[in-house]
Amino acid sequence: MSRLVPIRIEEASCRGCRRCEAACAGHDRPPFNPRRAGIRVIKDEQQGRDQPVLNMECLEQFCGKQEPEATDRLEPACVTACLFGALWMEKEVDHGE
Amino acid sequence: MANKWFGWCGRILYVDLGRGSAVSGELPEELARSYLGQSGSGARLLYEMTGAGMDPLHPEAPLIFGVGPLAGTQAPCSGRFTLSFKSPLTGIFADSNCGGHFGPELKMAGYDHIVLTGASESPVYLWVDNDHVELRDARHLWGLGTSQTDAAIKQELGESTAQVACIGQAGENRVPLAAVICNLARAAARCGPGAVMGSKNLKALAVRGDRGISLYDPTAFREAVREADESVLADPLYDQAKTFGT
Repeated sequence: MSRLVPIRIEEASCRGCRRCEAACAGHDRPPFNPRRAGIRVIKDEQQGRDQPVLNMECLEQFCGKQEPEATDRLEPACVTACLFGALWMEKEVDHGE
Repeated sequence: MANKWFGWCGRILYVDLGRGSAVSGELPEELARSYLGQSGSGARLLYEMTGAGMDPLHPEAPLIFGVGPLAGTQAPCSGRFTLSFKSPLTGIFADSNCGGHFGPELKMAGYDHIVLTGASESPVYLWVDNDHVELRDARHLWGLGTSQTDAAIKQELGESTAQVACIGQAGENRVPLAAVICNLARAAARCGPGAVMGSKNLKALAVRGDRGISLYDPTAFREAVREADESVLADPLYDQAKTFGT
């Protein structure tokens, strides 16, 4: 399966801050609600593990949730928001043209 | 701002552990405007509910959880919640705050404050799932450490996304500097809120919510958040704190 939006998740780097959830939800219609975000960090605190999980739609089609600092590249807000390198783009997103 | 709250939830949950009752009340607009939530509003509520002679571990001494208007939103450093109470250590006003995901979750459940009064006869924990408020038996949890309590409550409720703030053996035995722990490793410990919780026979609070937060002007808010973020990221301490913690 070719992923059109190649977001890579590196769970070892995830600190579980849920900034990506907030960034995604911030682009949605109000009210602001991270539970509706396309990304969710599954937290296993007993094991100290955090696993970001993406909605499959987010990989199939670019969501259009772009931060102003990322307008030169098609990078969703969740990836821009990550401060710890747990989410990154594998390569430039191809528009399809 | 007549009937519609933005940022705030506009509700306070009053729980009387002695009677086993919970009432949701409206957040007074004057309180929100003058004291801006969290520790400010908490201090005011505490002031109104306590007197000079009250023993901090007396059943009627209130323990107040509070979040501010920014909690649960994208605003940086906004996720903290504050406990306001009379300190068993010093005997005077105290507040203690704590990070983690408990504060935002409380906001998502639709409450700005939880005011706890009274003492339960046997150990209980409070379960808040949006509008559903329940005091559940915690006799089987009494004596457990905070980490086991957190895991046991989540398993019992079947809610892995619930956030739990609980006390361990120190709080149960009213050690005057006992902490309230949430997310296993985050502590509200200053001045001993754990002892106050222990004196109420309240082992833990578990909250879960999915209400969302209304913002007056989401676009302008995002812009303001971006500016605030930039100043955080530009701070010389940022890189160190990111790697080594505070």
